[in-house]
Amino acid sequence: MADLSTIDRQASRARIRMMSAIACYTILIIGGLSMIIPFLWMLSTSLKDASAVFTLPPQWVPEPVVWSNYVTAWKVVPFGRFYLNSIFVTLCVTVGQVFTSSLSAYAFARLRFPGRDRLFFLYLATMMIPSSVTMIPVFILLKMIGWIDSYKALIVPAIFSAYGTFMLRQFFMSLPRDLEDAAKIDGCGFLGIYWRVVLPLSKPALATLTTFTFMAAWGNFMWPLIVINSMDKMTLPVGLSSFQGLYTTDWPLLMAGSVMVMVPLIVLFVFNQRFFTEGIKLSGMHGI
Amino acid sequence: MNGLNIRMGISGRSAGSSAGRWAAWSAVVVLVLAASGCGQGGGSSGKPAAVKLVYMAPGFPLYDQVRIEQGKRFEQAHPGIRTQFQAVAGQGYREKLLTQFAGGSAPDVFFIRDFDLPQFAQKGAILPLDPLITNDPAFQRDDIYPQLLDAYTFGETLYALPGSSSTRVLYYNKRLFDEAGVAYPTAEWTWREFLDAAKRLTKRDERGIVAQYGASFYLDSADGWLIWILQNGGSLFDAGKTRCIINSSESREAIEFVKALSQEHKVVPGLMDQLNQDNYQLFLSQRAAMFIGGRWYTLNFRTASALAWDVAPLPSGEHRATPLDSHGWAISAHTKHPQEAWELVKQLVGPDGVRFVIEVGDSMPTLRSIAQSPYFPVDERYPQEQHNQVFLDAIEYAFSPKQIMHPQIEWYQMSSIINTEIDKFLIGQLSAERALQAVEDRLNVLIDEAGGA
Amino acid sequence: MRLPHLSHEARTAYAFLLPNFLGFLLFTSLPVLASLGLSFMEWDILTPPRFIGLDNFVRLLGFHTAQGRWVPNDPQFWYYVWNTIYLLVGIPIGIFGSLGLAIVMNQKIPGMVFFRTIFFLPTICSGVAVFLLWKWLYNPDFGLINTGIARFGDLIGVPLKGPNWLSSVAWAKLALVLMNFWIGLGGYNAVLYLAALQEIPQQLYEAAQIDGANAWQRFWTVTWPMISPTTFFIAIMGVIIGFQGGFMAAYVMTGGGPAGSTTTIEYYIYNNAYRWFQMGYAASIAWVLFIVVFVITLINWRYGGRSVHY
Repeated sequence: MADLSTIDRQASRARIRMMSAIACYTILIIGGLSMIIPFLWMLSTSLKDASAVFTLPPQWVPEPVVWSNYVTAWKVVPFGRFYLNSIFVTLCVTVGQVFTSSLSAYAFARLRFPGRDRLFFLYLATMMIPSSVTMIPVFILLKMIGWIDSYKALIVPAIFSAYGTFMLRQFFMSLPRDLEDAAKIDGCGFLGIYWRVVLPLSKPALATLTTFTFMAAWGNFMWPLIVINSMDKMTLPVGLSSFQGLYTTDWPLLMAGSVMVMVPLIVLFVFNQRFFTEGIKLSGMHGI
Repeated sequence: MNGLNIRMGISGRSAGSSAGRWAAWSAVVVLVLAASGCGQGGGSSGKPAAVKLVYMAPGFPLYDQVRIEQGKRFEQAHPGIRTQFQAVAGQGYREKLLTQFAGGSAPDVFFIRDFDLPQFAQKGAILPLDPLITNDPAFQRDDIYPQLLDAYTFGETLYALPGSSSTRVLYYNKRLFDEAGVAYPTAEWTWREFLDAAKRLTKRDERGIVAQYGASFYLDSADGWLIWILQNGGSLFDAGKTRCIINSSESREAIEFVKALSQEHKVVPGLMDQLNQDNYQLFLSQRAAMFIGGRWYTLNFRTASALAWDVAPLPSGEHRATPLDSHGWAISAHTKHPQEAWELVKQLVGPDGVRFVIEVGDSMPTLRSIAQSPYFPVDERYPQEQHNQVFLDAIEYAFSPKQIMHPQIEWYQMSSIINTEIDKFLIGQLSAERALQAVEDRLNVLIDEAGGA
Repeated sequence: MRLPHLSHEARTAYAFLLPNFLGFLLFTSLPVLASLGLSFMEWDILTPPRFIGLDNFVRLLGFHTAQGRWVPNDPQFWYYVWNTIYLLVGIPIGIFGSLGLAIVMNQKIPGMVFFRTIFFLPTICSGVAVFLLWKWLYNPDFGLINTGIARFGDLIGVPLKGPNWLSSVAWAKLALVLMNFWIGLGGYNAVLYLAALQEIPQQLYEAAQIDGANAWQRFWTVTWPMISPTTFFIAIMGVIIGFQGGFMAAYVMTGGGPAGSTTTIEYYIYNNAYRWFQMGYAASIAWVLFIVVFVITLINWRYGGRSVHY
């Protein structure tokens, strides 16, 4: 029979748990409401008639609801083609970047070799130059190797990123070494350690990098605009910008297009959350 | 935690092979990537044409099809020449054009803004058209309005031909005027009538917030300010374009008037609403009774079926003045086919192309011979537009960027200086005198630098 | 380097690095070096570049005398430097905000995936839409923020009037800082912290609890050290990206104004490069920025690196 003090303690702990859950939900709901407003506004605008966008007070529920905006946006530019292009390019870039970044991150994190830290700092340094001044040199370079107006131009330069290397390096360095040491004792080579120990343990980090890389590649506007000339290789952001003219912007169509462009990103984010719940499953309750 | 996984996978492989395997894998990956892009190399497919012309313009879905059509018609008329149209969507036209010039792959023919012409011309990036015109007696240079030709002249030479153009007029909302009992704007309006009407057309709600503005217009560019300054008799540069002389009592009066419009009388929206192209939206959603803009807004205003509007000339100050904006077609100096490019330009600025931009409501006629067409000045499809002729009439007193610019100073730079200093005046940081003096000083520095270079 | 004496480990390392390094060499470092060369030239893009030595740097950083006083050659530049630094101030606050949010979002209560997605939405949303919305919010007359301030004033009986936000030189930058904080709260940093929090072994918390640590102590002794690699990453990237920031807001939302008060170094570089035909000058600004960021990052690395716990 449990004594009263144990029951008391358990009861108070349960109370604390409930209080903290309520506190969490309160923060999340209030904050969440404000975070969702831009998205709601985008949806609302995408269903409006052009003259109803900037009325005062702002109209949250469109009247009438113009569903055809989505159809129009899809047809005005070859949206379907752009979708395919974007998916192809973004997938290639994401796979390539995560792959090469994880390899080099492992080298910087766990392997010793001459010039390691200096080389890493060099990687970092290249992120300190704004793209405005490197865009033209890259363009000239690609022109010299004949890659202008090709998918290669969209994919290959984007694969090499110091950001991914840096980020994964930090994660790899914080992994407990004992598992790697155990593998080494068992005769596993560096490649084996990388593939069998480090990568599986880093699922949240890899999922995160995948999401970030995908988003960046998906939303890249300026670069495809500059290097691609043929309409059939254009990507979605460039297609979206068709709704913005020199003087005027077709807001409903732009928002309808933007919503259609956003959907894969939301799906990807939600999908990647799977890799985040693994940590919780293995452990019990999280105490901050 | 994951010890089981590791135990299962390890089978005592030798340590030394991993490096070699990795080099091999890397090579494979690189090769696969290279090969995947191989099929989509740049360049056109199909049989090589004798001549290929690339022409480029800011993209807009409505136009792109028409421009491609024009290209196809050109191909039919000129067998052996292939054309490729590059539509550059959104805001990136300038970056793309400049990048292509930098990389040596500039299009043969491209759209150029009037205010960019001096820089492109004096840097030798575009071909002078006079020699081509001299060799082409069939070309009717005089059919183009002289003011437009002048806008595209640098030095004594013509460098581009107008593709679409417009002066700025006063759009007004007939319904709001009727409701307020104000007479429609006429050609006799001066600043006083304008202010009076704007005051009577401005409505505030019970909290004092403006629900409806009397007027709305853009001031985020030099020509927005210069409308008022020039109308009052001020001037940006002296006659010989040697000094900036904007700091005059006429100019100060003009900018004080504009400031009063937004701050004292509160009949026009404030400073930040100038940006992000929102001002025309106010007119579109009937929250502003008047709007200053060019004909390209007609295309947009026509989409709002509930909007009853018409146009009138801008009010006049001591003088009349209105900006003349145009986009033209120029030929790259690096083109390999100047003669063929010239033929294409003629086609693009010819009656067909111009009729189209007039019809959709994007431009006023650029050719005298089409000043009267089924769509201008009266378009049966839009009976409420009674006064489109004012666009053309205003060309008499319109000022093109060329007339107000200094040939050595780049437009955006000049515009940025003027905007910054007058911004400070508008928010009360500088007096009118000091703001305009700052503009003078900064522009004169640029003139001196350019003179020495 | 004497190749035959490289350890196996070093050889492996170079092999791992090879794919990334090749591309890095070709597509990243070559253009960067090209931009360095450009900074010593005058280039209007349409005509061939002209070598002018250090003139760009003198023009950017130098001073001259005018009316007996020292005046900078490019006064606008120093103003934009100030603007850029001002916008950086919000970053540490944002980092802590994201960490707090990540902790909340890491709790094992139902609906977390939904909330994480909601908080990430502003980052995914179209930039133009978000900026326009915030312009509305900041409208001095009918924007929600000033309306809210006025209502609050009614509540407490004191007539309050919100500032002119984006129309005011004094408040425009603050408006941007607040907006960036809000957008970034549930964004990249929160997700990074979430991933890091996932990696903390539960045993450490249990051990701390057994030792009698309360929640606050558990945070400082377990959580904070364990996520310090991520904090280090975020801090370093925050500086690197922050110094190049402020472009989109200026380009889309404020035009760099009013009176240049929201123009950052990045926007100044862009204007010089693509609007004013001064690519060489733009490159020199970029390289001056580079040196500053490089030095700060170096200090950050050495100093901050010591308190990182791997």
